[in-house]
Amino acid sequence: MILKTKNLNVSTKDNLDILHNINLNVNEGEVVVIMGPNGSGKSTLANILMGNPNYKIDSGEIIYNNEKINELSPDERARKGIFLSFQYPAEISGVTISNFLRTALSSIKGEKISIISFKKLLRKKMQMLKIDEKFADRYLNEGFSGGEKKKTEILQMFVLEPKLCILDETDSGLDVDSLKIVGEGVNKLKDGKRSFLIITHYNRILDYIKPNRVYVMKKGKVVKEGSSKLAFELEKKGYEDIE
Amino acid sequence: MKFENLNENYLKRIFKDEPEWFVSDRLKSLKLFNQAKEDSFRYGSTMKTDVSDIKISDYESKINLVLKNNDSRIIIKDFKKALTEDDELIRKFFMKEIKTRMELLHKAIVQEGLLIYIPKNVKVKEDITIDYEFLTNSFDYLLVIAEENSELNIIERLRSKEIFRSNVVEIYAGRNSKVNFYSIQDMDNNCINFSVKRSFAGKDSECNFYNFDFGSKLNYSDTYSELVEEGSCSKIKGIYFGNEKQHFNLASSTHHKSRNTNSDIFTRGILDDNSNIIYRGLVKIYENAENSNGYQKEDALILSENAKADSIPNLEINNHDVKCSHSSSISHLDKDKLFYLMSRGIDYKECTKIMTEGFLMEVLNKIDKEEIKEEIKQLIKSKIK
Repeated sequence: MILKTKNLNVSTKDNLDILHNINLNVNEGEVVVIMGPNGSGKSTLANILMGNPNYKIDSGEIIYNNEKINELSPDERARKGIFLSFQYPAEISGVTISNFLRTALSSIKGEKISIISFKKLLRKKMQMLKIDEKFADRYLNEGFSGGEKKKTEILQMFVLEPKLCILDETDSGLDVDSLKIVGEGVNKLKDGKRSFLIITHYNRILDYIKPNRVYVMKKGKVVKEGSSKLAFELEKKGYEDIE
Repeated sequence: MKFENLNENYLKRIFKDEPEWFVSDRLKSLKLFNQAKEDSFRYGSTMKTDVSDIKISDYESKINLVLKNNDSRIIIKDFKKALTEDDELIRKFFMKEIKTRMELLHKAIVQEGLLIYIPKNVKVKEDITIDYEFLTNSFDYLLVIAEENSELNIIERLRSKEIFRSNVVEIYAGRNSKVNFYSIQDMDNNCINFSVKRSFAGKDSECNFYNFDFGSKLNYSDTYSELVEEGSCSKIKGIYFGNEKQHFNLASSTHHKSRNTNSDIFTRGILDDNSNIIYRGLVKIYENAENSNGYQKEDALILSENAKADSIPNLEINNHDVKCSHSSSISHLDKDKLFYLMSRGIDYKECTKIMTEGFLMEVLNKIDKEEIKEEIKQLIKSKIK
């Protein structure tokens, strides 16, 4: 078991309850999908797993690799192998993708990485994702289109090679080609050990990725759990009937 | 501000070897200083620079000065020497405009200084660098005269013990000349530093200031750029970084006195701990300065609860056939950005560094000298805790 939440209750800093008794499991090598309508708390879940200080855990536990990580800071979680692909990545002015990712990779690996060997690595990963090499010297997300931001998130995931990849609506706002690159990208990273928690509003990305399990969230609760079939049923029927 | 032991006899004694005309100018200035009202460092009803604790009784300067210049066409002279050998230049250019009581004092007791003279058509490839290390209180002066079609870059670095310093820099840019002046102020955090920099730009000339302010507990810096003749332009770019209890009082102003003149003021700074700043910007367009452009932008990033920034951007426009703009912002570290960066495994401290550096990058990018850019980056890094 790589990730497990036990009766997780989460609220915002100003005490607005959002998540209620969330119990979910992600096993090693699994692809788990969370679906649900807007406002169901999917993004909050992704953020609390990463340690976003805008939210607080009122009760319950997040267990990662048999360790309770409730109190860990976001950078500590990242160094343990958790990665979040943001729904709305921040724009960081004055910081190039290349410099930033080298700093991030050095922090995660706990060792300095030379500029030359990093550039080589980055170029390789950019080619895999069909991202123009010039992007390496652009400021992180500044002035990027929605699609460019999402691809940059996946690029970061490729470079940092996390153990648990959480994708928060990475598929939304992508055109068909980009969606394909992202979907195939995730498949390339699948190695039998790496796990994925994919949060999505639509199931377009499921054309590329076959999940082991699907959870449906509604109003801050997990209301249904099922196989990949569930995702396709939802597409036909919508979320209305699920309570 | 209290200045003790200042009297005619004292001045006559320490300046006994100087030309009579100059000593007499000093004494005139001292007299005016003694008659003048204290300078006001109040702005509006709430902003002020507190000078009440300043008490000075030592005036004799000692500076370790290292000068680097590899171009024999440039004339660089000790100010004292220039007083006798180039008295015409000094009479013509030395502190012709005095705006404050502090400057009157400066004129009366100025000691160490340099005259840099670039003859006509001399374009200097290598930078002139002046490294100052102030060992005692200092009243220092720099006069730069760039003749027609000349070009040069000057880089000054300021380091010090715990001292009081008053400084005046005057740059005269002749027709079609280009002067870049870089000032890297990294003095001890217990210093008091008063600096006035002025430039006067002739026809089609360009005179730019790049100010980097890091040190001093009280750092007053007034950069004044006058676009005297048609077609001249000036940039004032600045970066500052305050921490501990540092107080900065920075002013940048451009004065358009002719038509077709352009100016651009851009300052960004960081405030940490209990530091604070009063920033004053001014673009002034005179009546006859049609078809001119003047821009100013100042942004402060605050890293701590107790740091404070006040910004006073001003425009004075007396000709309507011009383009002018001003903007100013004061912001804190964005928590969402911080979370985003930390989620990539980088700790809080390093993320603060990344965001701080990123914030200053927009100004750093205006510097085309890579080695200075690196030097400033290092200074920024060393100030982030």
